[in-house]
Amino acid sequence: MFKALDPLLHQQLRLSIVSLLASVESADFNFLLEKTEATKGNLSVQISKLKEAGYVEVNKTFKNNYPLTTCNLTKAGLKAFEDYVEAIQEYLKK
Amino acid sequence: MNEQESLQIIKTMISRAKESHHRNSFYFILWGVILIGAALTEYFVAHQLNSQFGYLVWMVGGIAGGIISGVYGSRESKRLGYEAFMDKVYGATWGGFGITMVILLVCAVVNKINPIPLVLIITGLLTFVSGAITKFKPLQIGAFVFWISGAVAFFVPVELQSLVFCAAIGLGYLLPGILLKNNETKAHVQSA
Repeated sequence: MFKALDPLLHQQLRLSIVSLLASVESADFNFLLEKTEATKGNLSVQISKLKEAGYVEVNKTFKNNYPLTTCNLTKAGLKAFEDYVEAIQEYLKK
Repeated sequence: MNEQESLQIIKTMISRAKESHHRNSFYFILWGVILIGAALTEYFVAHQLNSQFGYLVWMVGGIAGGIISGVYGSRESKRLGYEAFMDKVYGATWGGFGITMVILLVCAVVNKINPIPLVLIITGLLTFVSGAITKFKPLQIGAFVFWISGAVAFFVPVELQSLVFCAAIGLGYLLPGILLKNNETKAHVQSA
């Protein structure tokens, strides 16, 4: 019996965002934009969906008078990512 | 999106997250130059000019180094756009070392104790931990240079301690810093 894949993570851009955030402590919006090669609008929408699900925490601050948006994975987000990777590995073993 | 594609996305993103590197060699080279400069200046002021104010050069060097390190660290953080897990460990280690040094130096100056042997031994600890975090062997070898130099400094005349200090900083800090810089340049070229 295979585990069901988390539909929230089983989407290209959201999976990319979560994979990046799982590799670092926190990352700013421009870092995610550069690494995912997404558009600003699409990235914002997908981050909002992950935030609503409680997978990602978004902090808006200022640095040198410029707005700075940083994101980090929550414990729930990390757990969901680990479960997703485990499920993927099970599917690939079949 | 199938499972293979999912796995490929995860692998690609993790590898992209590692493309941007922190350039920690800057700190070793900066502090290596400052500390050797300060030790030689103090040696010259104390032994050639017979002045008691040689210690002021440590204060000037320490403040200048602190400001330059702070500005560089802030620019690096902006350039990279992320904070790695190890950055926190690294920051806490160096922050703790800075506080230890301030307490040690102030107490040593007030009690008129030469701090050089203790500074060398504690710097050995910082260099060893930094080498382990960055997985860079020359820094860990540099730590042994500090520990041995610190032990030697306890047994040599005070006027020679500055020279032992310079040799230890050169071999334990500056040289590994230059080797680390070469590694960072290579890694940057490979990821470009």
